[in-house]
This record gives sequence, C-alpha cells and structure tokens, in this order.
Amino acid sequence: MPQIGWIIDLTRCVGCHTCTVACIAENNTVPADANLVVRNGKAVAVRYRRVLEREAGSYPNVHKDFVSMSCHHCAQPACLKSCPVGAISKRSSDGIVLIDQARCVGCQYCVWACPYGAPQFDEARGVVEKCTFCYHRLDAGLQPACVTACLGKALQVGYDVGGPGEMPAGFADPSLTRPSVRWER
Amino acid sequence: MSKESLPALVRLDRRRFVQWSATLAAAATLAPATLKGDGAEAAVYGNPDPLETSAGVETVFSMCLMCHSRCGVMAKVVNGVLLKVDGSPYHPNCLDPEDRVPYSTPIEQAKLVRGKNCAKSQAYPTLLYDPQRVLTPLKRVGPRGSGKWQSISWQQALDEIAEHLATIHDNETDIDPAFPEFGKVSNKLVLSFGRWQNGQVEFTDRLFGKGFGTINYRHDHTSICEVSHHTGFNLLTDYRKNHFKPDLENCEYVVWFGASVLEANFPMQTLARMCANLIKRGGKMVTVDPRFSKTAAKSHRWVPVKPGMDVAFALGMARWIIDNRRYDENFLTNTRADVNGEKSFTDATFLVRLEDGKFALNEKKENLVVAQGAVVSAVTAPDGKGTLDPGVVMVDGAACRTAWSLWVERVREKTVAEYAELAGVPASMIEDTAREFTSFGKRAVANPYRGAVKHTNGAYAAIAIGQLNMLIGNYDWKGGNAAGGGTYKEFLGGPGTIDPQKVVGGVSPKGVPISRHSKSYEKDAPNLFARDGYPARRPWFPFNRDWLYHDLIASIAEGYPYPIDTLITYWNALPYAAPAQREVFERTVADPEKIKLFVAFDVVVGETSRWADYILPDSTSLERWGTPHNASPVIATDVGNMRKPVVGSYLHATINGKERKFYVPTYARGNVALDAWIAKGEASSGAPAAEGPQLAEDVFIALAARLGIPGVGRGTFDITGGKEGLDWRADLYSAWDWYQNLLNNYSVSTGVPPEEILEKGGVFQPITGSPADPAHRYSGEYMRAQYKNLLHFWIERLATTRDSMTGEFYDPLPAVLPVRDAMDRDVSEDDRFPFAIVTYKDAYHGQARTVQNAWLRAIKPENFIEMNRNDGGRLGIADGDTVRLVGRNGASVSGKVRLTEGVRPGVLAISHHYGHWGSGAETITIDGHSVAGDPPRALGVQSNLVGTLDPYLGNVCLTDKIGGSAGFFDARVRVERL
Repeated sequence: MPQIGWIIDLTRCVGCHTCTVACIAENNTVPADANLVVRNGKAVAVRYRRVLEREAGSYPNVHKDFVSMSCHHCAQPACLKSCPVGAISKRSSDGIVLIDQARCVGCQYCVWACPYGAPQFDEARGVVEKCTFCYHRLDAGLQPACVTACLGKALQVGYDVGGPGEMPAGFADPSLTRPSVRWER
Repeated sequence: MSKESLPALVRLDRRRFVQWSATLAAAATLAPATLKGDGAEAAVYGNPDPLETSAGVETVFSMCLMCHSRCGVMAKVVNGVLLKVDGSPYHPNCLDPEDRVPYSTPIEQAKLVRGKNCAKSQAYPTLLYDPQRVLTPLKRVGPRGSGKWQSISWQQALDEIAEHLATIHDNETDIDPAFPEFGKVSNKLVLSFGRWQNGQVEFTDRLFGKGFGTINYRHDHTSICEVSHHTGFNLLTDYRKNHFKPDLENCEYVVWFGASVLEANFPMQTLARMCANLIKRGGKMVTVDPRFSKTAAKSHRWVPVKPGMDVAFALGMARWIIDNRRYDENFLTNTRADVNGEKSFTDATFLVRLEDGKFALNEKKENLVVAQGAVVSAVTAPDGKGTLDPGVVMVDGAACRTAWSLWVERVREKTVAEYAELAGVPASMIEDTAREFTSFGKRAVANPYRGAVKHTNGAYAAIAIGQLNMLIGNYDWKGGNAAGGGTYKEFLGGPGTIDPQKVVGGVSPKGVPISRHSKSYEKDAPNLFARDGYPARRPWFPFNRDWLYHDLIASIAEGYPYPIDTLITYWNALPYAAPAQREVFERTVADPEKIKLFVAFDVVVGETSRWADYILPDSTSLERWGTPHNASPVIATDVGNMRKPVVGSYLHATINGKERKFYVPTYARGNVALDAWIAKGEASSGAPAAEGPQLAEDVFIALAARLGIPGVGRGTFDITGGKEGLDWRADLYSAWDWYQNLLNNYSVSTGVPPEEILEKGGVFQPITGSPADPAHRYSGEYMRAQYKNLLHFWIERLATTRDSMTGEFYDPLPAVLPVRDAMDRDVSEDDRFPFAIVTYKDAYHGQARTVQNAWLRAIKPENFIEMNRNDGGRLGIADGDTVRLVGRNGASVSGKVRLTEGVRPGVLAISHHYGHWGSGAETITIDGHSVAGDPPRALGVQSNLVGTLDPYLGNVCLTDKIGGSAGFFDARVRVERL
C-alpha cells in the first residue's frame, strides 16, 4: 500500500506560520469566537501544525531554520501502539493515522509517546486530536489546507517519500517510528 | 431601540460551527477503511470545514485587508457564517503566474484551485466573530477616557453628531480674517483615518472635501508608515513615481535595506514566494538591518547596520562603485528617454547653476548638457549623449557643473572606510556587496523600505538607495528595478467613464490642512510667515504629499496652524501606533476645549476610540466594498480590485425611481442610510431601524443627509457621458450607488461586464489568455510597464526650498546626517540612553489590529525585548528576565527579555502588535454593567511608549522634515533590571 507523506523544502519555508493558521481555520481546532486562553505565557490552543524557529551561530554569523511540523503518519506510529482503547488507527489505503475522538478517553499516553508532539490534548472536550492529513480533502481529490496555503510552496504531499533527507538537527531518530517525511534544501 | 435586543458585545455559540459541519459532512461519504475498529459507531476524526464542492457552501470573492497587500481572497461561507478565507486563484498576488487561473475561468472551476493568502488573512473569522467587538453605538458617560459608556441608538448618535457638525458647517466665514490661509470655519472638522483604502478614500475625500467643505478630510496614517520612502522616490522622479520594486522573477541579486519582505511590505506573500523562487534558482539576497530578520535568514549576507545608517552603507557602496568605475556609463550619459538601448534616463549630464542650485535651461525650458564640446539641449543632443564631467561650464554668465560631478563630489567626501565606520560594519561588507551588486548587469536591485527611512534622515536614505540603482541603470529592465503594473480605472478614465469624484453643486475647500503637508510655509501661509518668520512654530512639509498623522494631535494641542473643533477618527490607533504620543494624545483629547466633539469609528474599544465622545461600531473589512489599487510594483500586471461583503444581507428600497441596495453587516439589523432617507420622506421600507455595526460609508451618508450638504442625495453625480447600457447612478442614497458607479467605470475600462467583475472580486490582467504568458509582464528584455522617464542625482526642489524651521535651503544631495531635531541640532548620542530600539512587523500580524485575532496570538501570545546575548551578559540580564526600558522623556515600559545572536549589540528589537491597553484588553462599563476585557491582549511590550520626543517641539517625536516620517528608529532607551 502506498504511504502518504510530506516533502518539505527547508529553503522555501519562510517561517510565515500560514500553515498553522490555515490548519486551524480548516479543522476548527481553536474557536473563532472566543478569547484566546493563555497560561504561563503559552497559548492553550490545539494547533495540528506548528513552525519551530531555531537560531544557531553567533553574532554576526547567525543562521535560522524554520521547521514546520505536524503529524508524520509514521509507518510504525508510537501513538497507535500506546493507545489503551484502540482509538488510533492507520488507513490501509494510504497509511493516514487517525485518532477517533469518540473512542478516545483522554489518557494522553499518545501525547507522551509521539516523538513529534503531534497528538494534542483538547481541554474543552477532554480528548486528544491531531493532524488528519486533511483526509476529508484528499478523499475528494483536494489538497490539505497547509499545502495549498504554504506561501513559499515548501510543503508538498508525496507517496512513499523515502527520507528523511536533509533532516533538521534535533529531529527524533527516524528509525523509532519511521515518519513519512522527507526534508529538502 | 430596546437595550435587550442586541447586547453590546455578543458571543456566538460555538456549537453553531459544529452543527453545520456534521450536517454537511454527512452528505459526503467519509468512511475510511481502518486497520482497527469495527465501524459500528461513527468515528470522529476531527471537525473540519465542509468542502468547497459541497452543497450549501458558498464561494465568495473579495479583497483582504488584514494588511495593505491587497490580495484577492476567496471566502467559504455557510449559512451566512464565514468559515474560511483562502486566496483568490485569479489574483496575481496569490499564485505564481504559471499557477494562476485564467480570468475567463468560471467560478465553479476556479474555486477548486486554492489561491494563497497569509496567516493574517486565514484568521479573518477571528475578526468577524471577535467577542470583544463593539456592536452598538456608545456614548461616553463621565469624562473622556473613563471607560464608562451608555449604549444608544444610531438615530440618537447621528442626530447629536449632526447637530454639532451643523454648528461648524460654514464655508463663508473665515476662521480668522487676518489669516485667510486658515480657510473657512468648515476646516474645523478634522478627519483621521488609520487604514482606509481606495474606493473608500475617494468617497470621504469627496463628501467631506467637496460636500462639507473641510480641507482636513484625510490625515491618514502614512507618516507612521513609510512616507519618507514615498517622498524620497517622489523627489527622485519629480513626483511621477513613488515606488519601485525589483523584478524578482528575473532578478539575481537584491540588497534589501530595512525591508523584511518575508514578514512585511506588500504584497508580503508574493514577495516571500518570489524570494523563495529566487533563492532556489541560485539568486542571492543581502539584508541590511540591525536585526537578523526572516529575510536575513534567507540571505547570503546579513549587514547588521547601525540604526539610521543605511544611508552610510548605501553611499559607501556608491563610493566603491565610482572608484572602481563599475557604473553603467552608457546609461548615465544618456540625456533623454528611450535611447541607446535604455528606457529611463538620469540628470547626470544636466548642467546645474552653482549660484542657486537650479538646472540651467534654454529659452524652451529644456535642460542643457555638454555634448561634443558644446552646450546643447538635452532633448536634441546628438545620439542622446552628453558628457558626464566636462568641468565648470559657463551658461549665460553662470558657472555650472553637471549633476553627476556634484553628486560624485558629495559621495567622495568620505572614504569607504569612513562610511563603514558610520554604518557600524566592516568595510569588507560594503566592498563585497558593491562588487556583487555590480556583477549581474541589470539584474541586481537595491530596495529600501521602512527600516531605512523611519529616521530623521529617512528621505535621504531612500534617495541614496534609489540612486544606487541609477548607477547600474537597472530601471525598467527585466530583473531590474520595476515600476510595476497599474490599476484599471474605477474613476474618471477614457470615454464612457464618468467622474464619481465630482460633486454636483459641491464646494471647494480653502486654506491649508493642519498637517501642513504639500504646502509651502512662505507661499501658502504668507500671513503666518509674516507673523512668525523662521522658525515656524511647527515644521511645514512641502515635499510630503501624503498627509501627516503622528503630528496631528500635537498640532491640535497647540492650535497650530489654527484651532479645530471636531475630530472624527476611523480605524485609528494613534496613541499606540505613533512614537511617544500616548501622553500627548491623552492629555490633549481629554480637554473638551481642544476638541469639542470626538467621534471614533472602531470595531473594538481601541486605544484611540476609548477617548471618544461617541464610538460608532464599524463593519469589518470583509463586510464592505472597496477598490484598492495595485499593491506594489512587484506585481507587473494591471489589476482592478473589487472588494465586496462576503457575509451579511441587503435591504432594498426604491428611491427616486431606482431600486437601492442597503448593506446589513453581521450582528446588525437595518441600515442607517436607509433610515435617514425614510426620516426625510424619500423612502419607505418595512425594515427595522438600524442596530449593530454599520458600513462606514452609509453612516457618512446618514450624517450628510441630516446636514443637507452637497455630495449625497439626488443628482449628486454627473453621469453624462457614461456608456450606455450600464446602471449609472446619478444619486447617492446608499454606499452601493457609489460603488455601482465605480464598478461601471471598471467595466468601461476593461470591457468586462460589471456583474463578472463583482463576482470574481475584480478584473485582472490578462483578461483573456494565460497568466503564465510572459508577454503580460515583459516586453523583450524590458518590463512591459516602464517608468521610462527622468531620475535625479540632483534634487533641485531641495536646493530651492527653505526649511521652515531653520530658514536654510535644503541639501539637494544625500548625506550621512546624525539624528537631528526640528532645528537640525544633533541629538543622536546620549550615553545615558545607550540602546537604540528597532521595531518590526511579524509576518502573521498587521499593525495594531491583529491583537484581536486569537488564532494569530496563538502563534506567539506575547512579544519580547530582543537583546544581543553579549549585551545581556554584560548587564547581568538572563533570558526571560523582566526589565524596564526608560526613554529619554522619562516614560518607561517593562517587558521580558529574549537573548539572541540575531540583533546588533546596542540595539533592542521589539515587534510591534503587542502591549495593548485597549482593543479589547480592558474591562469597560456599558449601561452600568461591567463588560469583561481580555487581559492577554495586554501581554508584551509596546516600544512606542518609550519613543523619543523632539526636544525642540516637545510634543511630537523626532521627525524627518523632508519626508514627513515619524523617526521610530531614532528612539533610545536605557535598560534597568527589575
């Protein structure tokens, strides 16, 4: 079965965070009509996709990478193995990993297990959710919201992408869960 | 209106979003096969929006206004609720040319291609449904700024406001007969818009200028934006063109001066994508910025220039280029346009009279040059060639030299090493950048924006950087400096169009605006000049054509040039957005003698509107019409942008024989303009009285109707000559009457039916054919749209105009100047305030307004004082520590430190957008009830609070007298550990 995955061009990513907000808007993970909850300087807001901005070097020879991260729909998902109630499944057609919030009991084992922080706990409903690869759009022949929105054309969908390619420093050892992502520069 | 019928602030039930999602999703079969699960109960994998292809999902085209990039948008609306906003696939901002959908494509097909739009635009639902929105007119209870309000009806609000305006509506009586330059009493009405775009701008210019009769009809934000950039380029081009941008599609090397096009500028998303494309194909960028911006992160070289010294870096590059003769001599020796393979030309060969700085002219007023040893007209010089430096030449008894020789002499006043010292960077950075800049033929560009120009020397920075491009002659070339595509005419254009800006029976306002922009102190205010001489009481800005904003309240405080009566603000955040203005603003507006009536339009109780007598609730920017013009020269094709409401509804009434359409925004009922015509007996309608936010243009119409001024009502437009078959409106009863006329003009200008233009959110070149076809952008090796005109090394206007403060003529050549006050005194250094502040725009924020957007603050809930790690170490400050910044005028602000390698030592970088005290952050009282604010909107720090006041004027920040800019980045502070 083909495994869907991400191809991410680190040169093209300009760190604009559009992918984050396009996903929120598409998947309604943060209410549009409520004040943002902020606790200890952090936003309490589920965002399936987030962009890390990482500075390196020393003045004036500075570098910065922008690393967009969502769920990598791994070949061996740690989240799936960790779930005690079988709420997490992997589609046979394309390997998309999905959390069934109707079954989820909010134990958050998957939140701990995932090396990438993909599953997130929604306080309002007491369950965990994560990137669905916009399967609702893919199944209709459309592209994921983050991909269409990406200003720099850095995010692409691929199948059996191989990888990890130009893996950013600090990314978890891909042999742990075999994430479906290939980085390019 | 019953106070129970609409609460002042309302919350939507979030379940509404979930309900439709389930209903519509059920229609589509979404039952994926799974490895686990027996499928007995319906799985819930998320709560996504319905698809654009589903029944009941509307696709509506409009224009974004989350920043000024003017991108087309495509909104997804279900049951009148805005769910998602994507980019328009038709619009040149939103997709690369090869990805754009041809304009002729039907919407049903086009919508399958999602155009791009940035995070801010994607966050639109959080603006429309912001729980802190004001949803009813408010009248203050108690003193101004006390935070206590009563909700009142639109009728009461507008009756009371109109009653007061009637007392100053007088186009006959002089404000002061001894000073005719003050104009008539009507000038005491002052309007100040924060963000107001084409379509709307012309509407209010017309209604308040030619209807009411005030000269003070605009005062929009440009002086806190980038006005010195516009003034600088206006001076370079004799006001033909105030903006150029690189042709990024073909450019190989760009030097960005204080422009972070991956975060800001316009259109940001297009610039960002074009830069990504440029880098991928091997092109290079250099970023000159005290801060390691996102643009610097993608650049080949970061030049951590000292704030305000971009001009030194640019002149250093010029020095190296001159010394190494790496300028384009063919270009520079041309005496006119379109010769010797070039399109534009410069004044390099033009003779300048040394005694008065004026160009030497013949009796036909043509410039003179030296060609083959003789003094001849530039227009007729053989082969269009002149000599760059023939030495001193006598013309009619006056000693003359060429503009080039004078400019070179100025540049040579300092060595590259000296320029580098001033810029605070190694000389090798200047040399390497200059060598690279001159290694790509025409395909290299130097481009400045805010960072370079928001200084007291800002206009000179723009001029010097514009002149770098003249050295290599890249104007109008593919890959070079482009003038950009234009805008189809929605105003008076060719035959068949009408002039909607004309007012039948209108007036002509007199006198000078209180901004003193575009006016000569001596010529336009001769009596003030006779009274005060030099210095003027406050500076005049003869070169700036784009109004003054940050100086407005300070001038009102002093009653200079004359006292005013009424202030109407719209989308205005002056005390927040202008450096060092909070205290001046609050002290001034608190005094009902300085401003007798203060009306503010706003969507929230903002930092400005909290001080008003009346707050009038505005519809949001996707709930209005507009015709914003082409965003910037990086868009090489023409556009006719058409914003329209994406949600809301309409009322209809027949007035004067035509059916009129009146817009009803979200959270609203009725329409104020319709109510006004009903009250005057000109319309009847069963619609309820207006409640809730109203379209600003309709509010202005309702006020004008009460006042009985020209500019509204029957026969106000002259529609003779309007092309037959189109629905021209001779009357203005509703905002749509105005926009129907604009739309009709678009239709005549392009041949596209008005309905199609409205439906598709505008009309975009190419109207037929493929957007991928380069012929729409290029003409052989040149840009299709060309400036093809004169560019100056010598700014005669500066040489021949006196500074209203010092009485001296301005310097016609760029120079490295220290930070100077209004009397040109050097105020740059003060060891007690060792840190300079630079601010910046986050890519996902826009000015003051995006604090409202929860989805955007989710990315970063607060901002920080970004300090060089070594500075932190030296001062004993650790990452995350809270410190106090103390400004030169005693104001202070506190915030958290973030230590970074990415800022120049001695500089603090603080993003804008945060540290609000209004805009929904504060708790207020409405009708005696406490209405809770949202405290997280106050997180972070607003560095404007510690901006530096001009020590001579005392109540306005340091300002560029030539360009008009507020000197944001001339601010200096000291840091105190807490």
